[in-house]
Amino acid sequence: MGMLKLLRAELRKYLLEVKTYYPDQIVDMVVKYILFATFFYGFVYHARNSTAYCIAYMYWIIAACVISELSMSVSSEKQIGTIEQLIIKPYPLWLILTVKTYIVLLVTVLKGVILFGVIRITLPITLVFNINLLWILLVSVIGFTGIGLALSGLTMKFAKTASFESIISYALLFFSGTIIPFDKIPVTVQRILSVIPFTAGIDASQKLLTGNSQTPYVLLWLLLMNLACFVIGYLVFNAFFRNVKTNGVLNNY
Amino acid sequence: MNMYRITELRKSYGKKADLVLKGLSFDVDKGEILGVLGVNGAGKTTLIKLLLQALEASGGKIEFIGNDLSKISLRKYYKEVSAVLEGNRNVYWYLTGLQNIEYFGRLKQLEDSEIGEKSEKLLKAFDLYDARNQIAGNYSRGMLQKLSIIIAMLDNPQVLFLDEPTLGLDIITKKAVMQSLKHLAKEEETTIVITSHQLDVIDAITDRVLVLENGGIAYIGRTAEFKQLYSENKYKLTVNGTVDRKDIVFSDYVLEEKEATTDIILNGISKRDVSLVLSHLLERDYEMIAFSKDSNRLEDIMEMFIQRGRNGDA
Repeated sequence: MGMLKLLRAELRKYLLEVKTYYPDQIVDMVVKYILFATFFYGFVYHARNSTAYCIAYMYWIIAACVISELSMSVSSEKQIGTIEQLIIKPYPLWLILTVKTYIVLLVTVLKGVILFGVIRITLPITLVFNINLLWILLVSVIGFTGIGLALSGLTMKFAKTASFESIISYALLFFSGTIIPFDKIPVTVQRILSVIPFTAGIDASQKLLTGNSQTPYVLLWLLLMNLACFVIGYLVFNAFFRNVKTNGVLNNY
Repeated sequence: MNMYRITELRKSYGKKADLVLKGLSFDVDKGEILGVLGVNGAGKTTLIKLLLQALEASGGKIEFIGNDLSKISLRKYYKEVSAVLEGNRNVYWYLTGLQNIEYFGRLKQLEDSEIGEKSEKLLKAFDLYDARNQIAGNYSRGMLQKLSIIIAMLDNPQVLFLDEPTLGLDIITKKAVMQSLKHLAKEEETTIVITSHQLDVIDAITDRVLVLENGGIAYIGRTAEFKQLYSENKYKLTVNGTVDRKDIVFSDYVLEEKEATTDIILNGISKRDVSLVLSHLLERDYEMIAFSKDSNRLEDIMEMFIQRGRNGDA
């Protein structure tokens, strides 16, 4: 019941926010369309199949949403001056931020569906969908949440962290196989990226859609990797949270 | 019954930093209104945030209803306490007053029906009902403050922390807030810890005051007793018209000229000298209107208290 109340509270608040700042949502969709089209014609069109690109792009939208929303939330609540009101509520702060982020993610996915609908109509792309893709995506979201929590913990302590969020977000776009094929990325970067949930999720999804079979071992590895990422992120968040409660920098921004 | 028992509470911001609070020990009773006073930087807000667990103490112990607060689940604790924190916005500007109440009410795990019922009552009591559907960003400072207080009072908390709650409020609203707080403490047995530089508010509603000075407790006791600290041998004499200073046969006095009358405040005067001053004025045909042993305003007492502390004789 408690979780339902939190969900309702955050859903209603976010829908009101969307209603108030609806031009932001339209601009966001237009920018994502332009980015997609630019990279599609600039890097992808003649290089590899469009399905792989679509999958990677969809992953990027979701990862960027979860990771950035978590750290930007902390930053904006600090600036607004409401973060301490959130801290003194019966729900832990990380849970409030995560639920809020998932609500934003839900709206982002809806926007993504519209976006890919427009893409399909306007660009020479064949979109393939497989229901099993959702499971891989959901598992990946757990890992993205871990990265986002770690970053929001950092933002609590160092308010300027949120300013670097867009760099992280676009780095994911370029170096995860979305824009540049994974095998064209330097080997060292490949090694780093292979242990983050983002790349592994894209890889598993692309294999699924191209008909390559997924061994249970790969899926289990994906789940474990994402769970580990979440646990590490949660621990980092709590370590920073405790640190700011000790050093009293929660109001600094 | 003790709501809080604080023992040797210390706080510094960082391991090498100076202590902001230097071993405070005091109790807060259930249903009492405790005023926390002190100059800027005395540690009032730090103390409130420590009691709220929004900050972690550097040492000492806080007990809440007999239990070590560091061992109580914060989930349970935050169902029992609410706060209005000074300098923070406390509400979202893009939501209306009512939407803010609903959002924070749900975060407090209240049912929607409960939120509706209580918010209507509080919005009417604080004269904000007609503005409930306005965006909070369009509210005046006073209206925002009222909204923050309504949100804090929504779930009938056992403990209410208020950091400068009446800042920016008009006289009527200030009185309404004071009445509501007194009602909460008396009827609902809510414990209220309040800081305010508006000492008339502290004077009017608190049972006890805690004066912080340089991170320590300079005074803790009943507000009425605190007011008596420096009021011994202080008299106020009101006479018609103006007074020639040569006619006052006493050195430590203050003249306050009003429209048609003059107040003569005699500080630290003995009964014998009071008689002398009175008879001297009567001999010179001054018309006496009032004569009383003066009761200090809390503001005057605080000023004297801080001054004596600075002179090292507190």
